[in-house]
Amino acid sequence: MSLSILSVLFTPSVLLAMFAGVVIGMFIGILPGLGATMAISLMIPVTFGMQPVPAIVLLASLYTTVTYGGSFTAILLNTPGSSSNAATALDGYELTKKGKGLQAIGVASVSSLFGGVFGGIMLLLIAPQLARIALKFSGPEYFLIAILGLTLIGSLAGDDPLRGLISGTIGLVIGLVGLESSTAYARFTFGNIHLYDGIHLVPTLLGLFTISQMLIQMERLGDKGKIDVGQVENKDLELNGHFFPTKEEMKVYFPIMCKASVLGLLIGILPGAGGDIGSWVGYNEAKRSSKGKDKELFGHGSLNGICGSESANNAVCGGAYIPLLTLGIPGSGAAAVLLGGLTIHGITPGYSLFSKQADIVYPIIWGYILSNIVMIFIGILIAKKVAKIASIPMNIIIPIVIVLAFIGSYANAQSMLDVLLTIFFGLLGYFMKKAKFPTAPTVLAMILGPMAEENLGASLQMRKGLTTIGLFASRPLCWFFAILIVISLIAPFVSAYKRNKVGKVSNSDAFMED
Amino acid sequence: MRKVLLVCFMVALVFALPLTAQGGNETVVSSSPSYEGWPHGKNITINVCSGAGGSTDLGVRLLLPYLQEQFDATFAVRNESGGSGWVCWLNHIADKPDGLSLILVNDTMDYVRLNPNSPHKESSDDFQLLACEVVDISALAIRTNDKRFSTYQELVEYAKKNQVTVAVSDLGNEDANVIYLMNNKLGTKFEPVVIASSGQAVASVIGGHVDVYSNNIASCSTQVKEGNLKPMVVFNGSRSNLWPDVPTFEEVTGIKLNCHSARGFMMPKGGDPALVNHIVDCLKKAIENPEFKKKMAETYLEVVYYGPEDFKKLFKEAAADVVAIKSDLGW
Repeated sequence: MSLSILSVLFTPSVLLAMFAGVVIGMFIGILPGLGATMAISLMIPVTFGMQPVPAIVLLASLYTTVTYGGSFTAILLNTPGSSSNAATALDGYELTKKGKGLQAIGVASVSSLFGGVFGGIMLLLIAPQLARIALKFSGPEYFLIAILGLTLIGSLAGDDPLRGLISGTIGLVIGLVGLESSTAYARFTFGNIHLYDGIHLVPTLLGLFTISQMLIQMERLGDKGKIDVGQVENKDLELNGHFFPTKEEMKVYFPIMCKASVLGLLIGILPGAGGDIGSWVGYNEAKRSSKGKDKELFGHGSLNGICGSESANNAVCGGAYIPLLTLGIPGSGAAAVLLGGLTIHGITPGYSLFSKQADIVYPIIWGYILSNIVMIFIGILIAKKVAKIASIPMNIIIPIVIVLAFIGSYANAQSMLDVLLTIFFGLLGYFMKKAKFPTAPTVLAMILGPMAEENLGASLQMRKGLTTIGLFASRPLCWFFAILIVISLIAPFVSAYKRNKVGKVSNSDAFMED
Repeated sequence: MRKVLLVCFMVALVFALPLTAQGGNETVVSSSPSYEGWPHGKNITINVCSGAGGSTDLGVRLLLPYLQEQFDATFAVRNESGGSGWVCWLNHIADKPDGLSLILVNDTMDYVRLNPNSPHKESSDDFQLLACEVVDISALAIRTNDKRFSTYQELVEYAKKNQVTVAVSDLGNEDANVIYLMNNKLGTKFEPVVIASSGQAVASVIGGHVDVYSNNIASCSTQVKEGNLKPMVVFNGSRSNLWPDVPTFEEVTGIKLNCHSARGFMMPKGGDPALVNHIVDCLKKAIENPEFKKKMAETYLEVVYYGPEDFKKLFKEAAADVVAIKSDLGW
């Protein structure tokens, strides 16, 4: 880091902006349903009177910290702070019920730090080269990425693939609502303009995850009227545990963090992928990398799962900046709003930014990297206090969480319809859980279904006389993803076959011994 | 003790923030109370039909200080996106016409209802148009290293013989309409490829997957400035001040074809004519402020003021153009 960058970075205005971005981001992240896009939208007008470097450092700090802050409520209350924390809620909340909420937050913190710093370092070192990856992708590739993502539903279904597929199908149907992209035909909108843009992800998430969980908790209140324990199932279990992973644990987490961060970075770079799927991809990679008992814990309280999802979703932030700063192409929805912020402050994205405006862009990038470290300090500061939420009686927690969920769903688009949808999906999620249908595949399919449809439509429009198969076959990257899809589909069957074979061999050995 | 104080400080910050969020992305700008008369110190809300941070929202927020000079009022900006603007428009169609609720509008309003699938039959006739602020001219751009054509004329000749794909953000807005209008008038074979994400659309063109990019000047300018895209033509009666070297469609083909996104202000119908005139007068002075125009030009937005009647004409012209291509749109 040269002296000129340091002299710009370590000025009171930049440091104060970074601190403000981290603090505000932490609280917006913790409040369910708000998310990074809204946070940046709210803060852009505040930055109007600021100099470019502190303004953009504030916004960049906000982006990464909101993503991290959402993991707190995802873990402690099964309420993702934003859609990028949904995968964390799957195992995070199970860990809280076992009294390991603090440990889960610790793993989330270290993983978020790793992912965020990794993304920042890549942005610093090889942004122009990485940005070229974004240019290799278009409709056909994004379509196959969506299909590949949909094959992950199998891994989220737990022990019952059929129920997982049904949940996924429900998500695909939900994703059909709205204006069809190729023909602008309104589907299942019933003449309601609020449904033209489809059913928003935030109210669905808050309903399926948060409200449904609170309804289940309300059932447990039952005849006693109230219970005097929080969410920890064993009231004698103290909510202690270490925050930071031990050296032995880091040996397991480190490879997962590396792989998930690379995947998250790549997801962030691709403008059509959307940041929301980053955490799911990281979670799936963590599951794929885990073995034995670690693998069995997924869905029942796996720290590896949290490690994967949180590394990936913070790496998405860094990845989204790469095409944004080098090509002026935002890699995620939040980055698209950030582009407006750059424009207002006279920063023109492009390769020349790194030469002609180096005194602005490099302090911004380093400011972003440092903000990841600052956010962890804030996380450490509040973690033990926040983790005690798990021991607050449920009859206090439930109404607060429900109110917060409704505020979050209304704040998303200022529409009462979103609040009604939250209630609807809350009831749906409740009955799904009672019938042992997982809700995670519904959310994933809701994100990927429209992505697949839009990009298939675009692919068909850009064929130029080729057949559809011909179009896909003519693109090398499509072959790569098609092979991955095939592997992803047959892998469970191969694993089951191997398990059966090993089981038969063990049985025959035991028979022989007898 | 220090930890407690720090936590209290952070809690105070976080409770301050939702107070701004609950109003729906509202931003409040105070004015100096120097003018006697309307609105007597009351708040004026500008309802923006798109999300915060985009070029539409930007155009309003940059105007705020200049509105402050003209009005004796406190302004708040409220973002209500959704339904291509219709959520915002229909939410405020029945507001009191007392001038305290201004609405941002664009000229897609009058032709979207021509779509038989659209449930909206409202139009600009159901509102009081006040002033046009920005006319963002439609343009076509290609990637800089495309060796097949270097001028718009060459592109047209190529497109008469070969299918040429064009990235557009949506069917039913000016980006796609201009494609069908060109095909109608020139006999070309431009084919729209709908890519909703502008980032993905630009990447598709720069990466060579789609041939041409159709969007407004403001959306193309960043890539043009960086040298990734080359502008071919603008669809306006005269050359844009932002791109003085880029020819108009009429210059190249001899055929008149104007296409743009005109954005401005309106209010609910039925207001006192004297009040309407006063608001129009203040908007005119704010919009025509040279400093404001300069700031907007820096963000590639071209400020063009039209009064209520001329603004209405733009709506009618846009709708008339779409009537000509209804069958191409499937309407």
